[in-house]
Amino acid sequence: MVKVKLFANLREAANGQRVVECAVEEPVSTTELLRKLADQYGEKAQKLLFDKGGGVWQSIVIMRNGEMVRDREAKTIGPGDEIAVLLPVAGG
Amino acid sequence: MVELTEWELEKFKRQIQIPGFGEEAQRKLKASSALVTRVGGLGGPTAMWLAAAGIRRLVLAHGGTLTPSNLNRQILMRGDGVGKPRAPQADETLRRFNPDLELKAYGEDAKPHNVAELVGQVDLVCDCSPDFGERLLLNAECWRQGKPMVEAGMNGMEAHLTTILPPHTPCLQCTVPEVPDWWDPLGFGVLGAVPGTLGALTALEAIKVLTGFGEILAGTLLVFDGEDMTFSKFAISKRPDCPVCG
Repeated sequence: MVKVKLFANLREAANGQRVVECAVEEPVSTTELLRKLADQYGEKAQKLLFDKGGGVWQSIVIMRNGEMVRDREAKTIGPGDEIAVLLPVAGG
Repeated sequence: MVELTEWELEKFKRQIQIPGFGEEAQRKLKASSALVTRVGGLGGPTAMWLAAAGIRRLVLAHGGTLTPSNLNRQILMRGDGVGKPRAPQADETLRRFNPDLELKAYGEDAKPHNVAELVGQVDLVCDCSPDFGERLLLNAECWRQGKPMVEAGMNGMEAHLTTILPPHTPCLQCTVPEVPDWWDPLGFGVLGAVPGTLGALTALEAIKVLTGFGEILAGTLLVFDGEDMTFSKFAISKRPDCPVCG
């Protein structure tokens, strides 16, 4: 299991939940984790996280235990990790 | 190094009293300038706190006129200023608060034709724009001119803050290489105290960068969650193929 902290519109897409749990038994990539989230929370989450070509938006920032994960395909996320999914914000 | 007058020593004695700040940081502020773009819910408080702290010169950039829905957060404006340009209202409020401040208010946002002039006349930029295009434009120009940029943005109850220090830190383009098609500048709510909190933090960060006091958020993203009142810090990294700083 990994804990995933959600921010901005993604929190809204997950029915207002600030932290959700994702079932992860063995290491997964950030793309795989976000796919699980999209499957869990439906079309709105899917649109926020993935572009029309099915790739993760490059401006989604994934933090694993406080450090930015750049490689979207490496299986860097394992059970017990704390993940934050940050969407770009520009409000002033 | 500029000297402080008797009036300034009295006016700023409570911050000079802070251990490690002292007269030296105050003198550095007196010799410093910053651009704040724009001066709405976020940039307004940023400009006000910089003015209060004793920065020598502020440059503001903000186009457009005041609307009723701006008045829950744009505290440099006037209640009777709806329909009137915003830059002169911000100018008037800041001058009234701090008559010693040197101030230049541009009645337009940062754009390709003016960005070099705006950035070129200051020591530091506070990016408080609600528009990614303007933010990325300022980022590229700060990088070109080697000027630090305090990058602040918010969404709903959430606020982000980091400091971009060319050539050492990641730039904005590293974390926002593209703008998602779902992004809508008016697609989220704003409770004025959230950009107000972020504005105070932005000014604090700018003061630290300008004076060398304390630790700054270079290469670190601070995220404030106003819903559960948590502050989190994350390490951010450069994008190896970034067209601006890579």
